[in-house]
Amino acid sequence: MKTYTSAVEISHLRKTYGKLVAVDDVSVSVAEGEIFGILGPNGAGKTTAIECAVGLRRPDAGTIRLLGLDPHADRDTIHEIVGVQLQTTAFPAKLRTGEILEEYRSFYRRPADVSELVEALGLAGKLRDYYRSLSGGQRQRLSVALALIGRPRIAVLDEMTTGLDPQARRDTWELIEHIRDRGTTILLVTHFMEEAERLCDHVALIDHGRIVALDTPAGLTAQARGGKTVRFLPSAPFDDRLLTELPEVSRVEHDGQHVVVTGTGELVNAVLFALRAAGLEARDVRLDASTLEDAFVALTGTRLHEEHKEGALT
Amino acid sequence: MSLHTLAAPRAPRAAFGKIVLNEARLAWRQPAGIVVSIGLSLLLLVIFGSIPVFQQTSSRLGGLSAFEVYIPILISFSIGVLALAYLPGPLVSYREQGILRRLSTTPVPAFWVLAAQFVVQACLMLIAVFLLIGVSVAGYGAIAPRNPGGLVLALVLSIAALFAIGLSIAAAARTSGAARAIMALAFYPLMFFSGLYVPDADPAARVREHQPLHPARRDRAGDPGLDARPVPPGAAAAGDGGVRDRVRVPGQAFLPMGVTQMDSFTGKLAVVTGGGSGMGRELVRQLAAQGCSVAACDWHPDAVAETAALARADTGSGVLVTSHACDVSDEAQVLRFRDELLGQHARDHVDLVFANAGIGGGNSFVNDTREEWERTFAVDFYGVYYCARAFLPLLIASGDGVLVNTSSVNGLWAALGPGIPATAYGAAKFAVKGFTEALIEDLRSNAPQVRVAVVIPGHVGTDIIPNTLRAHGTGPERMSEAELEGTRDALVGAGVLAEGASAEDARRLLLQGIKDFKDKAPVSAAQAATIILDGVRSGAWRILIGDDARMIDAAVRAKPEASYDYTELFSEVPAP
Repeated sequence: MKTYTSAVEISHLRKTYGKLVAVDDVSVSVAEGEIFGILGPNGAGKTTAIECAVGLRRPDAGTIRLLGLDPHADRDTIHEIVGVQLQTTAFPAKLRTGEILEEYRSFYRRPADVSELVEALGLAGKLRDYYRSLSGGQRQRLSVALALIGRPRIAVLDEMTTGLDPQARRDTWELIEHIRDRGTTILLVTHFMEEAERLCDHVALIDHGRIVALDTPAGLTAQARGGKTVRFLPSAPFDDRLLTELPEVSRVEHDGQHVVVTGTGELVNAVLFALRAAGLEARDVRLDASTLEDAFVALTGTRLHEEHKEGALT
Repeated sequence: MSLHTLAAPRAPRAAFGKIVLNEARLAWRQPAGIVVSIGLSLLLLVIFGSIPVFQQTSSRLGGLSAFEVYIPILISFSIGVLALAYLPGPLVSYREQGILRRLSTTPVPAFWVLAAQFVVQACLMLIAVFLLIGVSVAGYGAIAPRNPGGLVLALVLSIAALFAIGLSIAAAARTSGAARAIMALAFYPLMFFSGLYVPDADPAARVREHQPLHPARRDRAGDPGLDARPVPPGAAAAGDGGVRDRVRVPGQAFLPMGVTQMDSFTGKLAVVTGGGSGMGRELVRQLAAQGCSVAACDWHPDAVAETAALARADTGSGVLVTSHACDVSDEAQVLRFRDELLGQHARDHVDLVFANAGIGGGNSFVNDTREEWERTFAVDFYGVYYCARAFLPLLIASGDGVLVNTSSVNGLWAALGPGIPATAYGAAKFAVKGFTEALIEDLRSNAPQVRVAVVIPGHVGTDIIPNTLRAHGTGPERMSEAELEGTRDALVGAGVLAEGASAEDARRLLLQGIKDFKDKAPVSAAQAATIILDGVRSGAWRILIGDDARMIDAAVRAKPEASYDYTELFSEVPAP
């Protein structure tokens, strides 16, 4: 008998620090087994929201249910089934990686296999290293490992790939997908667009404590700018109408000698066919699908990587 | 699937073991705390154990050596370092680094880390305690703890108290830097109160002054002289200093063997005049019993020879007790005594001189003979004076000499009561007190290696009366008929004997009086000797013996004008 409808159910969450509203009326529903991304610039309230979700902070208003459980009232159960990776966690400098993993493993009744976990996270050769000798990326991966070591039903990962090199980042993504495939629900706080597009089934965009958009990554992209862009260098000048008359094309622009065509559907084929029919050739063709980043800029008016000077509370 | 199957899971108990294991690893890998708390205490223990003088037992320390007294202090030092310097650090940094926050998202309660720290620290403390006690008992022959229950209770209370302080620091400090600062501020005053060190020559007095509940305060209430409550006769006779002497002065062992205190008489050489009886005899016996060689003299060679024989019975090897015939009122005899004892003891200095010999007599300047008056004054003052002349250079040569001159309550108050003047005795005893007090400044300026003390006994059970009679040519047994009749007339005149009493009545009364003076005294000669030796060890310069002496001292200070109006003088003096 399933007493809950979604893995994570947050409704009308509100949290303030004095006069500053960190989280304002956030509602989110995450289905079991999905990877749910929370995106937003620094200070948007992402970390506050998930700290409320795992019971580290008490919300001022709203309700939170993880698999139907309240993070405070049912905290014993919550701690058993929710694995957490916090942004700012350190460990004693003079403990070895393996010792930290063994300690945390002993906290859970059905722990994961340490060797499998460290293999996937590229920590297998680091088990005898002191924590203080680990690089920033290795510390980050250890932190992810500790979040997953209790075989959680829900894993909450806050900026899990920050500080990782591209290869380590892709390896971590694979692990997360693998974990999800085993049925774990994953709540991912990130500001990497690539990460969200690759991993997330749904994404919530948060800015200034509010949700500005909630959709699949592809849906958000389409919502931001309906279409794709083809950019090329024509072999000779031509009349724009050659292309604007095509049903797939919505706009033609010039960028120096380059032409940028925006449209939908089989845009590339249509453009290239029309050019060839007119005796022209297209060189240096690039097809740009608009990205989540574009969506973000469009929806929030801010660039993701810009530092918010005010209210940098995450 | 129902989540009820997951209801109220608890973290596996094995998790606590893992946390303890990791905390123990951290303690081992960051050994500063262990090194300081256990290593430093052990090092101090080994150093103290290697200093011969710290191994000498002392009656002042209740028969313990300074080394033994230091063991519990080092144990508390060890616990204090762990609880204050080491315990707060990890806890504060765990909070600072978010480790506790991270833990609070797991099934394990964050306080398990606190408990694990407690287990590790308590184990370290037990190791420290066992090591310190083990090394001192096995390596340095300290006595094993005699009260295990008390030891455990003391340890539990010390650990609880110091942990509470350490944890309070951990709770109050926001950063590990702040914790270190608070710890440093708290540590040194705590060590001060624990008695580890006191920046003062007389720690006991300073601690008593500031700490009304400090155990040391119970003792030595009499100030500036010493308390003279009688002790059980056995205690003093056994030569262990008596019950009153079991004073623990924690910081004392840290003091250098200086001029202000004398830890022990062991190995020293003392000169005692008037050693044939009374306080002199008991001084000889107690000094010898404490490992001090003694050269005793007396006007009666047989009596002082008997004293020496008694003293030798109580002593071990290496202690030499010699007896010498000497009339201290004759400077030539004093010098001969000096040369004789230096030869027999094969020494070039003496450490202690007790100018104790004294007699009564010459009470009335009006009636008594000039010869009697001058003989009394000569023994009582010039005996002290010639000894000072003869022995001061030898005391200076000691480097740590003490000259102890016996005055009297009649050095404070020149009467014996209504109808009993004390002109010769009082004059001599005032002179001794004045001379000795004057020497304080003289020696401080010109011979700081030597200090002086003046003994002011009240009624002490000695043979001073028969000695006095013999010194002036008459023992009560051998009084002529005429002398006895004169005595009878004097006693009848004083109202002590009834009209019509016979000369034999007077002799009996005299003999009974002599016996009662000795046997019914409030302070025995042995107790008086213990008080004198206590006073010398403690560095006191003014040693009052007996409640009567303290009462008269207080009375003549309070009402100097009424000193000889006896009713008035003693009217408001509270019974001691």
